[in-house]
Amino acid sequence: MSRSSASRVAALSGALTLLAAAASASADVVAVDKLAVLPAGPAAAPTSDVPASIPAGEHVDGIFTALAPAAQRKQTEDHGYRYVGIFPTDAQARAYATDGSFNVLSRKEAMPAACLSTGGSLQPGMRLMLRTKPYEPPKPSAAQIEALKKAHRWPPPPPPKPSGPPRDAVQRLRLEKLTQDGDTVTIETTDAMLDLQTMGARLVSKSSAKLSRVVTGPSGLGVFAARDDKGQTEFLVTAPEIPPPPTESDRPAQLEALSMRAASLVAQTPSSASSASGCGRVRFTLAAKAGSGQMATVIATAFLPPATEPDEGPATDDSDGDGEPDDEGFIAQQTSRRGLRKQRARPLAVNVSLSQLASESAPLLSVTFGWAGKNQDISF
Amino acid sequence: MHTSRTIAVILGASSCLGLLDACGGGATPAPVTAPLAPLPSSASCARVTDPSRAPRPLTLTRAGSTVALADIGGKTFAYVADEDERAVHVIDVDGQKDVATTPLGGKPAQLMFLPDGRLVVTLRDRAVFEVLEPQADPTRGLDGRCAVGTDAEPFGLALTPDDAQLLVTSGWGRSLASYKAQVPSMQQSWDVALPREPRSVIASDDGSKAFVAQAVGGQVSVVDLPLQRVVPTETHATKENLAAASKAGAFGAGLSSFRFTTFSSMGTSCQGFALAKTEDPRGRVLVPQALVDPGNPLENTPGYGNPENDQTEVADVAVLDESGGDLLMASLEVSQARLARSMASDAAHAHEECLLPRSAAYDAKNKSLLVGCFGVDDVIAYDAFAASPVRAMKRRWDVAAGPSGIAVDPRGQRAVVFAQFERVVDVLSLAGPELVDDVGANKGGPAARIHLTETRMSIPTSIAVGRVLFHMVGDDRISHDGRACASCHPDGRDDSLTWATPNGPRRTIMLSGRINDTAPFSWSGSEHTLQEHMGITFTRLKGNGGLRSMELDALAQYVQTLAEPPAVANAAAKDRIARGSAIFHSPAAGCSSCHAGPLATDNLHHDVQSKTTADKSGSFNTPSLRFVGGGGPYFHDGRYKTLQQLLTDADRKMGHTAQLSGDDLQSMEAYLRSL
Repeated sequence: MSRSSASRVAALSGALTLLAAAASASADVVAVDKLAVLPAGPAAAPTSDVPASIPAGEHVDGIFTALAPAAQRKQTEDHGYRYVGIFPTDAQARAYATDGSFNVLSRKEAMPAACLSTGGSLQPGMRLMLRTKPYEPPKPSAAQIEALKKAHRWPPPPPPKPSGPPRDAVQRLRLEKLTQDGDTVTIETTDAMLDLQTMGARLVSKSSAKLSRVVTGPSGLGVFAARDDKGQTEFLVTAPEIPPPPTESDRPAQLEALSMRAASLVAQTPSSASSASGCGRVRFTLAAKAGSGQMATVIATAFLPPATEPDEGPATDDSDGDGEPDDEGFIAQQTSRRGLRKQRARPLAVNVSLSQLASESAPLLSVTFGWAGKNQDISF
Repeated sequence: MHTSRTIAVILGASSCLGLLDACGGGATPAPVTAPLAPLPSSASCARVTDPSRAPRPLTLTRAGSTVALADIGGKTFAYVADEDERAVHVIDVDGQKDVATTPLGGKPAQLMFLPDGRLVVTLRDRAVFEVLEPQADPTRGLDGRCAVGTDAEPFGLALTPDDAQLLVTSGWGRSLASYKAQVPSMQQSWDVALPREPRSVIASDDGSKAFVAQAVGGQVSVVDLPLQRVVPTETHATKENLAAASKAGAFGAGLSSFRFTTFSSMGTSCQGFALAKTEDPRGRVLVPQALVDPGNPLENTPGYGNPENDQTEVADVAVLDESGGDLLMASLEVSQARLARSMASDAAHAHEECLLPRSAAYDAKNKSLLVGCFGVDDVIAYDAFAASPVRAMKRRWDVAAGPSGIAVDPRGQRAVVFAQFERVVDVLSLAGPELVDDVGANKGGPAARIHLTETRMSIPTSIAVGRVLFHMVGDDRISHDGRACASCHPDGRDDSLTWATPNGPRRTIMLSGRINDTAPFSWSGSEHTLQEHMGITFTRLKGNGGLRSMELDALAQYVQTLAEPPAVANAAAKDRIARGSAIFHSPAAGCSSCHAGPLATDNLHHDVQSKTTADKSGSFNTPSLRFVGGGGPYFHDGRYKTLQQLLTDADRKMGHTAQLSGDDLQSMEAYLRSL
């Protein structure tokens, strides 16, 4: 493990100052009292009513839509629906429109900076389904019709006629963009509406929140926090860092194999919802007042040094140094030539707690790490 | 699963049992000091030798355990209460050696250092605590000073922060007593009655309260020390505490779906043996326990408990506010382990929960609660400041079987653990990163292991094996959800619960001292041997029944030899007991026609009109009345909370008591309590 685990217990006053520091701070932990000077607060929830439609010409910065090539859409459209690809970058949208590729995790960056959600899990890109024809149930077989007749349920009543375009064509959408500056992260949130029919997008609101690092966990996993003025504390847990590859030429294959695993986080939050993210970060809010407490558990993956020496493969001598293969075949070729690499990984539980006894003057924040499963080897 | 390893260790050591040779680890025999002669109660408890030359308590925990640490010449020594050998061992922790054994006159439960270096030991089977004085030379063991009488079965020890009050719990005697710790006689100041089966005790930092863990009953007793008033605090969700938390608008008031309760049952809690409290910041009392869902007794279920719960018992650590005694409701939210398992697809951890917590200590450096768990034989470090500590497990160590005591040595950043079942002292490193990259294993092990020397007869091998099996958590042969025999029979007694079963409601039966010559077994009386009864029980627990006959026999032998609860001395009530006996055995009362003989049972079936809607039969096997006074609630469905209620409300269903005067009823009750 490149960095030690850490357990932080901090008492948060009204201004979020640290009253009691833990003894086991790791070197890269920022004192929590920095939070006190950061303007912070969770993004406001969008409140606008959903319009019936949005003209195609309307656009929101950072939200890009595309349809896959017609040939690829045909099969789904024959069945009465199609997918609209939604991306935080123009390049991803263009790639989807060109060949239907949906490689939302880059081979150059371990974690995407911008991600999207429709209220559920945060994703580096998404495909939303739009029904293009009214739903038609499958036709019953002769035997089924006979059974329905016996039950006096045949013929069935005619389905209601659709009035206007499908009502789920306009969807709420959230774009989150994360920038990190040392031990501070800034999350810029854009709430918008997207018309899947016209692919027009309308801005609802924009907000920004700064959170400061509470602790750094194994594999560089980060826990950031900021307190709002309503007694709630917002947390952000960022994914573990993918370790340096054995050789630079291994980097693309390594990212291919590990980035999805690294980006996958699942949070169990006090609202009883499990919030999944494929974007390498997960946000949640905890609150505590005298006599109560709340906890969240995030399951992530820690990447650990090999338990045994990796398989030896032939040395690579043709790397151009940039480590950027241009196609899948190149990666396969590289894998074939150098032999399999292995990366040890282990599920990790990040437990974040905010609690305050009636006799305590302020909530106590505590973050701990524990293993949540066994070691596994991931080959690439 | 540790079963096979532990049993192998015990069997391996069996050749030493009963001999005066050193055993385990090939250790050189430790010097044995002369057995302490029975200490006169009139003797002074005061220190005799110069305190400046005495061993100095390394950490003045002011709370009892089976292990306490002292500094002698800059080295750490552990004083260990070994109930099997009825002795205190002195362990050189740095030298990893058992250096002295002082035999005692009884079975030690806990020991604790007083500030001047004297050691107090409760003797569970002798109704006394003894005050001992460690010698300056640790190889010379301890000298006895005095014995002070207590209620039956003294167990837990604590000292108030001003060192003025020594607090002693009595398990079978159901009491907390205060003794004057700073006077030579250590005379008793007062005592208060407690609910069933009190165990460990700690005093609050301001000295105003004592917190007493209760092995059964789902509560902690909070005792106001100046007023000597007991306030029970429920340590599980109840309608009342949920409503109060909700009314107060508390966030995380245990109302989320993660809490253990289900739609049909609020459940309860059990296994409160150990306690710890936090430092820096102070004020949190931590209560390791198990949450239990026995189901709705008026429903027939496939096994024991609520079928809505796939895990009838789960580990928990309740958090109490030291100042007010209030429960932090969020500490009852326990689902992290299951969540983690499901997310990580890690079924291997499914049954490794701490369902039998037996020891606890606070690790100030790491701000962790250390809990010693029987059955899984681990010490687990939880985040002591988490809203629900059990959801924030930081580390676990694989230790020898039966970790009955933990002491933290801050100087060496280590924990010293006494594992009773293997008679081993394990030393755990608390230094370094808490999240240890334990490659190739799920747990870390001890940094050092010190085997106690054996100087006189301990317990027979088969019983030692049976004890391990009785406490085995997570053994698929016994149950599918990790439950052990000791889950429902803590200390071989009973959990005071009424379980939903296929045959109707069934109140757990106390085992200790009530097995021999009482066949057939169970309320239904359908099993004629213990092995047969255990087989049916394991089937109901959905165990796969793979115990070998040798193991079943060892388990049966352990159950048959469980120590009887001690007699409750009540000389003052002698006449009343005699009167009660006469009434009990009179034809008019009609009790002894079924509750006959020395065990107070005819071992036959009778219908006493107690059938409930869920019962498949109204005929029940007559239970033995031995130790009935220490049990309760009563009847197969636990319908009578007290003996008094049983005597008055069961009239004409079972005997005739309506004609008895209040005085006669009291005599009957006194007689029953004497059985």
